[in-house]
Amino acid sequence: MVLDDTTIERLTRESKPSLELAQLMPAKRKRAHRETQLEVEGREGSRFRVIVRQLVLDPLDFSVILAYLPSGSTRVFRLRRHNGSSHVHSNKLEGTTIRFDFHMHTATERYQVAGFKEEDYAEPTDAYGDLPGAVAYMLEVAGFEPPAQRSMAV
Amino acid sequence: MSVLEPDLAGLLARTVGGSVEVEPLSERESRVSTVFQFADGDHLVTRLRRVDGDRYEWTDLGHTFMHLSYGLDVDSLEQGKRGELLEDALRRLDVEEREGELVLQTSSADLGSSLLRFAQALLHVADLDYLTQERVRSTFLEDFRRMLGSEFGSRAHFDYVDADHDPRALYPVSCLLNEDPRPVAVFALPSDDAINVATITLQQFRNWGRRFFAAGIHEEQASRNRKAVARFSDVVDKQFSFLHGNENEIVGYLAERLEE
Repeated sequence: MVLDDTTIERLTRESKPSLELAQLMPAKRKRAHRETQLEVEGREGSRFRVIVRQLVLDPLDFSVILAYLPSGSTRVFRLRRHNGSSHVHSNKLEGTTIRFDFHMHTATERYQVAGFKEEDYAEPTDAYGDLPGAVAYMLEVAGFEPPAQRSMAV
Repeated sequence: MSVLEPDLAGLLARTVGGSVEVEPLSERESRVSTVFQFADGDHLVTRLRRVDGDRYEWTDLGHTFMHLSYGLDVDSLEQGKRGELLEDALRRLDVEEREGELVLQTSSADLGSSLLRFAQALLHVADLDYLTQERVRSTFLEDFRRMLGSEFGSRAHFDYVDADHDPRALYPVSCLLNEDPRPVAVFALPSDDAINVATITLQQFRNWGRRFFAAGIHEEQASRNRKAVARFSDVVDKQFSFLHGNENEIVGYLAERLEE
């Protein structure tokens, strides 16, 4: 399955029900990391999964993934991945390298057509500097509705 | 040789044959970056840690398994085909696993070649990603059995046959949950053939007067022959269009049927 850039953008921006940061903090221990997964249905009926992982030994080694789950398929299509600053990343098509910096992977048509994984392309970012910031930024850019305003006691 | 040794990078680069950078993080640990990378362009995480005296160890801090978890459930590496391959890769390269952290013990005289072995081990582990459900059909059946076995324990009877009516085992049920009063029959459906056999099996059980709740779990229903699925739909009570990622819903539903 190859998704074009327009579809990727549409799915990423599809309005999704609000989630609280606390729901997405990694909790379940899996070998050397902790992770949490939540599935939501977008307002257009698409199904998505948010997966958050963080290394126990290095809090700056983390990933926040927004994946699209096509109906009737086992495919998990990663639309975006926000990573920490623990490693170097090289973009194979562009020949560029990100050195120990926070970076965001985004799914692209060109990487799929070239035979690579959909979200292999990444760019450095200063939009966040830790895991909670990366999660909050994902909620912001991926169409998640803001939390309902709490009523103020008068 | 200290992790702070200024020529450590040069020494490692001469053995590795490519660019190596060493960044001391403390007196006892340095971050070592190399050209080695996973298939997606993320480079390996490799740190050199001084244990004591002349003893050092390479570590990935657990990054490799976390990276691997992007494509598969790392719990599935505990057993089965993936588990065997993992164990084999680590044993051949003398790498140990400490609760998900991969570690290779070494000495100052062997830093360069041990870095090569360590990188090789991390890449072997990462290659297990190519055994995801999209690429190796045999793991669907392993995962089907593991899911039902761990959830239902002794109530799960795999490859069940009705010994009284079917002594030649021509009509197997992938997994029968409970036996009385109303068992739940679950069929694993990785192929069109499996769907056709399950259809015939259910019809035969009806002919024998055996009544149970029947469910089918497809590996990927969207890829199956539509007529085969339609015939199966006429005889089955519930179908799940895929397994991986759907486990909670499946076991929850089957557990509810067992309570009825």
